[in-house]
Amino acid sequence: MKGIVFFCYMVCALFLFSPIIALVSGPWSYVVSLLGDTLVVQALLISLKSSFISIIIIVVLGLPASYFMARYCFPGKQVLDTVFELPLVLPPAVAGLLLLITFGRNGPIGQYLYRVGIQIPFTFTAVVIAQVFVAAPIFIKSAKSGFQGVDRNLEITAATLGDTPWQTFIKITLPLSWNSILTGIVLAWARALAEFGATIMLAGNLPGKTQTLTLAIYTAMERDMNLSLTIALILILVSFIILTTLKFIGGKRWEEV
Amino acid sequence: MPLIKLKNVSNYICQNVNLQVFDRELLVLFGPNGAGKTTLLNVIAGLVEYEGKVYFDNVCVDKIPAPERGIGYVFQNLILFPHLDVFSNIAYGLKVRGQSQAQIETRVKELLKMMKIEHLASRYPRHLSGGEKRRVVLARALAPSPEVLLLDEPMNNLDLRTTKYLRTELKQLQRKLKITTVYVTHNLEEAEEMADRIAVINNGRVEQVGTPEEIFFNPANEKISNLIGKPNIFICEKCKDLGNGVMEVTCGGLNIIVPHDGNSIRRIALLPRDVYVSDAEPPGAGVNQFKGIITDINYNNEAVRLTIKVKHNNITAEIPYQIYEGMDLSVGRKVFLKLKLRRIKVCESEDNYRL
Repeated sequence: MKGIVFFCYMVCALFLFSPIIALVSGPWSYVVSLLGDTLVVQALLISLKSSFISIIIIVVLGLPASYFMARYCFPGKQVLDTVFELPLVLPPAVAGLLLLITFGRNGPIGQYLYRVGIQIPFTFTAVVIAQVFVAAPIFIKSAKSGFQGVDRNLEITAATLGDTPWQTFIKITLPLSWNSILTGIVLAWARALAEFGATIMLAGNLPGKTQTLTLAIYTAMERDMNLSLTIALILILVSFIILTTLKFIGGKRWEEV
Repeated sequence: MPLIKLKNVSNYICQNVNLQVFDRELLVLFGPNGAGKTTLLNVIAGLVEYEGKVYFDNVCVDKIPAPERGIGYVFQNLILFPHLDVFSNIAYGLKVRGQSQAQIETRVKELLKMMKIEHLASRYPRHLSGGEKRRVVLARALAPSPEVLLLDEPMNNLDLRTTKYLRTELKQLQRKLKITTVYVTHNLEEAEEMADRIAVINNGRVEQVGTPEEIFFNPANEKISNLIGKPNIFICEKCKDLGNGVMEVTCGGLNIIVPHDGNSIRRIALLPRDVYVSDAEPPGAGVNQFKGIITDINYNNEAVRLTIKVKHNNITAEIPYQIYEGMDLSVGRKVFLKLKLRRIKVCESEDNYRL
């Protein structure tokens, strides 16, 4: 029994680690020399900018939304709640296609935006919209479970000690669900950074305008495999930096005190 | 002047409750689980919706939200903020009121000392025992010097020894701080020990309000008598002071020794579970030990109730099943019984037992 389980464990580990081997065995000096390539630099800036804006929007809107989902109830809420999970199961290409139709020149929302001179498809805004669409549910799901994990009685106790609902939220609810919120931010940011399908459908692949790092990998493949590798390296680096920074901000967890 | 007054309060469980809590008194809400005791506390605290009116010092507080009612509330399940240490937990209500750091420090230290938990100041809640948590919760509720203290089963799930110790301490504290307190419990012994007055709550109604003695000796109806365990009540014909805080009373031909230091005794009461029954004569000359004949045997959920005729008295005794099964008892059988001396309750007043 133990032998078989261990064997499967090792196979999984090797398989999941194999891409890293590719990275290590790459032609390093050449890869590094490609770091300054315009394609790479432009894509990096677009990826950072768009994912940063996306994550701000996701947190600002998603935090209250997830709190509402965790704390309040109204008829039909369960049905509406599933809307928040839809993007999780929707293939990104389908999501992108539907967004394109919605925001397109003749789309249900797009036609009105066009009238006031706002064009969404194939712009930087489209990159952000695509990222928010696919990443927001991930954040909301995590934040919601965080809020649900906070005992309602703690909030009531705070109220009897003189706290207003806002004070209670800042001093009790938020610190106690902080880990879930942070996890949500990390996962959503990673998802936004990795976004490909929905972005290419809605925003296209325009270098210097809508081409993010993941799209740039795809484009670079046609020119030079090593250029793709360079971008991949940057993506890994950026993800790693974001992950460790947020973990660092998280500080000591009260469970560990 | 009554500090808290509930007038025709009704909601999903309370039914037309009228209740007064006097200034500086400790009122116990006693009743079975699900009777509406906690809901009444929540009404006073302003945490649940209700119809009717609640007054604090004759001022209607219905429109005042919970944070501004000036109450200290100790919840049943010992809610401490897990991300704050003991000091910060106690300081919580003080910070909200915008006190200076120095003021907060002084007050928290005072409370730590009062509750005898100075050594716990920097601990986190998950490293506290049940008894310690209770002290912290109480200190936190008392910190902002509330005018009203609400305690919801504060001794629940605590071992007997700690409970007894904490009860005494809590009572002394309440007397010292002169704080109006409403105390919820379903434990009769606890209710009697803590209360200035007891309000018996059942099915969302206040069934009776009175001193522990009034409730015990004059339960207003059969339901209350059942709730307090259907005590045996003996009317005393004679009372003789034996000195040293001991008296001998004569009830229906029985001479019963009672620990009592005061005026002569009119009635005594004893719960059926405090009557020992045995089929063989206990060795030695026991105090309050009598012979009787079983006239009735009743089985209920947890125990067996025996009615035993002893001279002119019918005494009810309650014994656990396991013990009953090992004893071979039947109607008409002669048994020995012993009245638990320390559990005998004494009444000096003349009021008639209404049952």
